[in-house]
Amino acid sequence: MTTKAPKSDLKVKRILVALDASPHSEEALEAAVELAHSLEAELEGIFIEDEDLLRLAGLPFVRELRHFSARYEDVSSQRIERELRTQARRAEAALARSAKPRRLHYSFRVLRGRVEAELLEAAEEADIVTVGRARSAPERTRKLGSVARAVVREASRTVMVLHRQAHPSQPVCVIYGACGTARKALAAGAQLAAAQGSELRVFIPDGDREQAAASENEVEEWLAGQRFAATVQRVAGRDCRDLLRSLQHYSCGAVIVERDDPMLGEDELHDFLVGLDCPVLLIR
Amino acid sequence: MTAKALPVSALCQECDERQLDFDTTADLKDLTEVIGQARAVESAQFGIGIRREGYNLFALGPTGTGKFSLINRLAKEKAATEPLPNDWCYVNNFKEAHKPRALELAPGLGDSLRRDMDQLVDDLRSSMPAAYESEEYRTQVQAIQEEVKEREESALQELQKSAKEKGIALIRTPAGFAFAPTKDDEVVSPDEYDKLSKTERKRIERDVEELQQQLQRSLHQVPQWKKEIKDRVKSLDREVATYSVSHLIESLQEKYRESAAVTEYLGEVREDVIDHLEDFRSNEEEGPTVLGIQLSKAAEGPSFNRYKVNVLVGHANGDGAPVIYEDNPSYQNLVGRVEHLAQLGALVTDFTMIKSGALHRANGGYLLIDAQKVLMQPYAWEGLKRALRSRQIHIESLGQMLSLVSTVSLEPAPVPMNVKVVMLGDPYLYYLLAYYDPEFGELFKVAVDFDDRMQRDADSSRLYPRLIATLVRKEDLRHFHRTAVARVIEHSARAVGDAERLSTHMGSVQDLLREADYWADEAGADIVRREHVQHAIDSQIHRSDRLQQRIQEEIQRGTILIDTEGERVGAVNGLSVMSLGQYSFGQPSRITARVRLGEGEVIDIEREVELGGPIHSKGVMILAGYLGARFAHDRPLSLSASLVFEQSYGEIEGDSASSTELYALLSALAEAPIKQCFAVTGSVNQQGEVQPIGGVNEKIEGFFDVCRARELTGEQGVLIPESNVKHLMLRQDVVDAVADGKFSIYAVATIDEGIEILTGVPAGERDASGRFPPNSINYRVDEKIRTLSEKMHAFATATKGAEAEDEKGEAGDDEGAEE
Repeated sequence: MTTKAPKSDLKVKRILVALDASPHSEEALEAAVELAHSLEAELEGIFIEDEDLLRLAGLPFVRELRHFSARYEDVSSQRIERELRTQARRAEAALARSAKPRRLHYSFRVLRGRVEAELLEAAEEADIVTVGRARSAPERTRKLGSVARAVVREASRTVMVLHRQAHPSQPVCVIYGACGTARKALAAGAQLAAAQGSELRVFIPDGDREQAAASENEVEEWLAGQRFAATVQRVAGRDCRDLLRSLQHYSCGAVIVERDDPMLGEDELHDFLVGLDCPVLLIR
Repeated sequence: MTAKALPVSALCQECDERQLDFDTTADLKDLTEVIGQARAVESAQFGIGIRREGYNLFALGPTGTGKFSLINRLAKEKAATEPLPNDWCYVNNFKEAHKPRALELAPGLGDSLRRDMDQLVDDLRSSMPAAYESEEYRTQVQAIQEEVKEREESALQELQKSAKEKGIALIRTPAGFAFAPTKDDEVVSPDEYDKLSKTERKRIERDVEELQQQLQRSLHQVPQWKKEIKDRVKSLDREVATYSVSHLIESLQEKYRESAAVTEYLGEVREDVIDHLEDFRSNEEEGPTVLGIQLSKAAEGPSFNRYKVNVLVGHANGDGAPVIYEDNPSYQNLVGRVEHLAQLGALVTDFTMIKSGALHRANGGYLLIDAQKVLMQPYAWEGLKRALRSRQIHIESLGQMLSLVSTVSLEPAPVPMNVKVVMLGDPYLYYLLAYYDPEFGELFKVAVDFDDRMQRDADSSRLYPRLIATLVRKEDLRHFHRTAVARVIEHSARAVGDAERLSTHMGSVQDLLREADYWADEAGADIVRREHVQHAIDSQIHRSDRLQQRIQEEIQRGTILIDTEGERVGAVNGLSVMSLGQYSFGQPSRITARVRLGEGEVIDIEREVELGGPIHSKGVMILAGYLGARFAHDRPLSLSASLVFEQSYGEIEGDSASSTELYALLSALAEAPIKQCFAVTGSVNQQGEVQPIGGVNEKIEGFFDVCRARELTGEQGVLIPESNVKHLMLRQDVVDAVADGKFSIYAVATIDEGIEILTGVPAGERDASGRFPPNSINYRVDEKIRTLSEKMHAFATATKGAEAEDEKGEAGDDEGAEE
């Protein structure tokens, strides 16, 4: 297998990562840094000051129940702002701490507004938007956080759903579907695999046999053209649940799938994302 | 009654080579028994055999008599028939760490327990982290944690839900939670809020207040839940640890089921492992460090040392009970010690640093120690007695024993002791201890008394060559020809100064054999012959006789005045012995006597100037007794005599010159000159009998050397007490001179015999009328004493008359004064 990265249709120059000061966010940051490093992209960190919080501070009767002390205290705008600034500084420091040792280009911005809206707007300028899997809910609940859901649903760009457990040495798995972005997914997969030095696997769902055969040809041809070695195999993939079951058999380092794959409706996508134990790149 | 010179045969009891029925010592078998120490062997066998309290042994005898080899051999013979003693280990005391526990195990099991415990720790250190990293364990822990988290989440979600129904959102703030009214999923801004109606605002505020209280109630429970998780995880951890450790411990308990103490200890190990399971969870090998300096694990952090086994005494491969000789019986070397490790300036210790003492190693067997060394080591003797008395070995530092320090140290559990102690030492030590130490008799009931000499008879003449053969083989020397053996035997008799005894001082016999072998080697001989032994003896003497030669020279040069010819009144050649280290030699000195009128005292000038010892003074006082009884029994002894060793500037002790002094005195009284070709030795009693003295051979040889240097006239000789004849083992050149008639040795029994030889005048016996024959020595003495006595009487009367006159005159004056 060659490790030379093939020419890609996916031009990744900027990766966006949203930061808050939680430990979970730091894990997501680590994964994002890893990805940016693999793809030689610039990392853009943003911290969004939630407008709701600022508004809330203006309401006369609202009091805040403090963690640890479990006591109520009056909320003031100044204090909220100060706390947000502190959080932003910490987020920036965390970004610097992770990015500097890898000699990564990075930038950091603080935005203010509604979290989801700001994030989506910022995402427009990035090539990949990364989101954490869950905001602080335990793993067992297997849910995406509300922000992540919104981004996955609405972002017009490629989204990387990060996962706490990254296995860079495991194969990169590409679902080669039937939408127009399939080749882009394949190219992204090849690039990632080359960058991580891991194996590339291409899965072709055999819902429609003819389509699958055609896809297979396309893949082989592309790989031959790029002189890139990969395992190509068909998987049972009539619907999303079927596909998820098939993928769960293999240990995947990362899964790359087309966002607009018809199999993935909003709920199916959600189940698909929480069902996999690895980062998922949603190509758009 | 004149004494005759002794025949040549009496001068040296030569060893008859014809009686030695072998050619060289190669023909002789090794000697297995000890010769000449029948009493010691019997006592030692008794002492070693009897296994009762207090029956420890003290082997007393001069150095070199073979105490150690005999005791060592007997003890080893006995020990070989006795069982191997048990092993002793020190292990951690989990309840009181400063009092390590002592475990007794069957022989060889101590080491095995040590290895098993090391293995156990290794096993646990690999199996416990594995158990805690297993999927099963993690799932269980996660399940517990998630259960609580879910409780928390669901409480929050419920609250969120009921808030939402009221148009209120639960919002996470950077530092906690807050409730705020919403409109279209957005928090209502203050301006909008102000626009709401009063009732609406009141409702919202009331709702928020209510929700806040609910949230607070829920959050208050969180710490409680967290503690619950902790407890449940802890008990799960213990379960896992118990599972990991129990089967390992049980298999060990099965292996050591014979020993209840070990089984109990293993039970405690299990509990301790479970209590300290955190130590086993991490795989870190590195100990803690301070400023980059590695600390031992004993000081800080988890330490697996506490599961170690310190095998104090192990008998993995041995046969029979131990026989230990402790070369350096210091207090700590006897009872053991606790070592310390310096750590950043502080001294730390634990049970693994307990070291055994000789008593531990000899437990169940025999301990041989040198008495003088024990007594010279501070507190070693006290420590030994304490152990023997309590029959336990307590390991305490000297500081602890004397209550000088009170810093934290270890108090290892005492080990029961069953040791037979054999002390080896000089007799004087035995007698000193017996006299001054009340416990000594209780603890050392068996004295093994070694003699330094043995009977010289047919039996010993047969065994002694075999002893020589044994030593020759042991030392890997050339074999000794029978002539050489004979010379060794003769020298052995000479060494104890007795023709009828042989030396049992193996040390010096061995030295002589080695040196004779050396000279044989120098001479290129295959076997050691008589001349080589003689060479060895001569060179031994030559190496140490510098002072003797010096004195001889001074005599020859006339610095020390000794006559060997002519006659003198009141002067006799006496003989004394000087000892310098191992070597002693005889030396003549002139003894003179002067007499004058006096009150019956014999003045010992040596004593007057405090150069004479008490025994010497005693000898001189006996002279006065003899003179008074023999010559002045019916009148006062009115003479004053003074006696002196001429040219003697050192201390004089012993009474071997008392006969000599008497001869000088008699000569002075009788005014009879004494022949200076004689020298005299012997003590005398009040009856005038001559009594034996020591060092007779050296004394004779000392005078002989002086005479020979000047030329032997044939007149010269030495007078010795008759009872010393059996001690004669004279040098060959002396014997040869006597055989050629150039020198004589006279044995005298009484003073009368001696004075006849010395003056050539008969001594004279009192006849029936109580008078001595005229012109005899005793007659002249008697006359002299009588004359002196009369003079004294006359003098006394005259003086008394004069005094009476004086007194009268004085009395008259007094009367006159009164009137």
